[in-house]
Amino acid sequence: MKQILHIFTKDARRFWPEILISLAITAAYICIGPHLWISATDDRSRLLTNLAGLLVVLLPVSWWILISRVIHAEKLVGDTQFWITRPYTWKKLLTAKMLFIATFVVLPFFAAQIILLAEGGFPPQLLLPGLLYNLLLVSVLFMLPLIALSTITSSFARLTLTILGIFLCFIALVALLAFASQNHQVGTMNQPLTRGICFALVVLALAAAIVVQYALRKVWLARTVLLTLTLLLCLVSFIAPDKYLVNRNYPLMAANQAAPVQLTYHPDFHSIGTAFYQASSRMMIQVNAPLTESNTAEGVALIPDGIRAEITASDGSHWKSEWQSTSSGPILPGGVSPLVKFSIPLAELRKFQSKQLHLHLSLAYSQAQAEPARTFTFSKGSFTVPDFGICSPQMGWSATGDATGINCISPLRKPPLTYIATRWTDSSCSANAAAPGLSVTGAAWTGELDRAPAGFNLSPVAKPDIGLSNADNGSENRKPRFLCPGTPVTFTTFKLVRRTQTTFDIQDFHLPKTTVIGNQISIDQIG
Amino acid sequence: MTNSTIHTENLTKHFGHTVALSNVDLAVPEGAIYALVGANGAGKTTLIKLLMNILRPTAGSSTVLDIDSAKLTGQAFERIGYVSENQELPEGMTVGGLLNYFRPFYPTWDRALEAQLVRQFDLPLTRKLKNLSRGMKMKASFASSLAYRPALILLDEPFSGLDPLVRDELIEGLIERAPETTIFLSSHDLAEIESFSSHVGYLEQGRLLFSEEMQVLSDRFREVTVTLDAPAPLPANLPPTWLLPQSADCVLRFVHSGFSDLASQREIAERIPTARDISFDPMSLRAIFLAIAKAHRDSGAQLTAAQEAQA
Repeated sequence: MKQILHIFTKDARRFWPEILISLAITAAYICIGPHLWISATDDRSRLLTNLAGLLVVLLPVSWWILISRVIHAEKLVGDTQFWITRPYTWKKLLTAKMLFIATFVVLPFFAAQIILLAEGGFPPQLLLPGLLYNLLLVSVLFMLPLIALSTITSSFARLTLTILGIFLCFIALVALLAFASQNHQVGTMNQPLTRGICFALVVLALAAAIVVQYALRKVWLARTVLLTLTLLLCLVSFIAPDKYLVNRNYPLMAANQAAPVQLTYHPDFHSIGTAFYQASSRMMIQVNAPLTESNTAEGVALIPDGIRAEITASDGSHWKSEWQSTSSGPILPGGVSPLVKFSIPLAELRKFQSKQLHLHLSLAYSQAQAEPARTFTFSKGSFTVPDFGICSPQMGWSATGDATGINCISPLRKPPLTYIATRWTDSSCSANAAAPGLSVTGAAWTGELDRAPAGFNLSPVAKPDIGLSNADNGSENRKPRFLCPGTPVTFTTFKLVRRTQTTFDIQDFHLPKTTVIGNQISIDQIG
Repeated sequence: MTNSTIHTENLTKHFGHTVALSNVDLAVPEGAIYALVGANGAGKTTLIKLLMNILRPTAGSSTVLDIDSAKLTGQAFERIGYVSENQELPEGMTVGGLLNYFRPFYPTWDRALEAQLVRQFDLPLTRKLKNLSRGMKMKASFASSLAYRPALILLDEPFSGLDPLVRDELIEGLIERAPETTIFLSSHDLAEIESFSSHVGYLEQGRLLFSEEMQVLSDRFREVTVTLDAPAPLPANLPPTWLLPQSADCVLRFVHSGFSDLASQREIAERIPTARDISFDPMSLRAIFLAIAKAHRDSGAQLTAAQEAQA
């Protein structure tokens, strides 16, 4: 312990300027951080919001410098370091370095998170597990890689070059895969299993590389471990057996099981819109299939997560997509008709477009059940929505001083999947109070179904997007609508019930028509 | 257990296809001041780094203070001092800070000796290492490696590039420690180690050509001049201990590497019956090294020529 504290004290004395700068940035972040979630209404608050955004970048940069400096003080690469022929014990050296990082990086960050949560109006003592989980994520996904890379590099410059190199390789790989892949796959990283495997891989490999370096100083071995980790992550992230993962997470419904939704194909239920694309055989064209839903039980929401399309032409030719992510919103009983979308390469589209097709769709979706709705009265002040967050009027660009939306913040992560409904007024609140006019429904989905105790964020306060529908009057001049005090706002939170897979067949399906105009192709799309 | 402070057996190190060290067998007795001599690139630094477990051997083994070099770590360094011209010191520290920092690592750290070394080397305690001259840095490194009275001190080219004054100060400091420690140092300059070394080893192209006590080395080498009755060519099948033989008219000269007063006289008389006069002249260390190096190169060239002829 004596040696650990001795090395720790030496580092603290030696790197006091770096420590001071890092702590100053943390202090500034504590002071200005709340502007990240407070809506900017004037130039001063906009400036502070921008500064807070800058601090979110500067904070990890200061950690980067501090971690690099302290690890490289007793660097592990090379054979000319003073400490390797002194009575250092590797375990004590490693512990001293970890103690330094815990004291000057982790602890100030943790304190900042607690203070910012309290600033946001959330009691930190009730959110301790989430705070610790957030700390774990930031430590494992940001600090641990920095420590591991510092152990295999000899200086800050080399570490920076290595990080830039890794970013370049990552960008190149993603670009390569995007070009090579003909289909947008379901984001495998979003699947809990893949996420869990990746997290475990990252922790194990980074810890192994660090221990190998401190215990043996075998740079090639530590680099091999990190390289293997990168390759494994690439494999899991990009070449993961999607079919297996989707089938595992979204089991097919049993034959005797009633489908939670009835989908019906309506070929005439559409309008035609034209979209233009550059003529490239690699271009993916989005195809819409107009379906209507029925039979969805009250209080149930279906969230389409993935889609796979299989096209068979009358002449026997065939095309099948991989699992693709879908941008369709949740399906509610009696809600807007679902428009199922999938993507097909332009070359395939042109091959099949004039043929009569049989379309077989596989849909992977999450089924969620509504919790009892909670109604709050909209006021000029903020109001707390339990298990959701704190909401307040969005004053934004209203000239009359009336609210033009709702702003909400939630602690440590996005709120649970919630349907928010309220009523807009076309006239200003003062005019509406004098002569109440017609009100229009404004509704929005926000939050997410899969929720870890905290997200991988530097800010402990999340600000979910709440884009209420019908926010303007829809006329040519698009005047904003207002939310007036006294208006009821209903929050309906949904909880995941199950994930499942269903199939749907369209016997007489036609792909959109294409027209070549110069080097562009226009697609008459069902809208 | 061995009786040597340092012991190596077939110690070999390759860097890719380059052989830096080849089958080195070395024994440094306790209390010796052992000088490892060789030209730049001979493998001296590699050997010391292998002993210090900074590098791992390709083959062979070594022990330092009866500890396998490959396991030399942590507490073992409490009894070993290592100073190298290439060692990176924590440049941001002051000399005083460096000594203060190292002190708690060594249970045997002697504060009185530290103060004496600071005085002796005239070390500026408040100056940062990065602002010191090369000589001053080396002095600071010496002080931080001598103050805990190590049982073994390894010095890699400690005097390289230093002015004579600093070099003498360091040697003086080193000699003062000699009675209680074993010193192993490398140098490419014979003159700087000749005066105080008790043992010497010569490394050339990764091979240890010899390793022995300085006095024994001086005693067994003689420059031999044989005066003949009449001009004669070099006799065939000369003993391998006769190095660099050459003849001119009635004089035959060579270096005897196994000199023994009476036995050598008798041996020469037997091999060269026409010898009229034989004289044996003692050699300087420099002359001995040159003879060995030249003989080694010649034998290497002869071997290569023989191999080429065979091929």
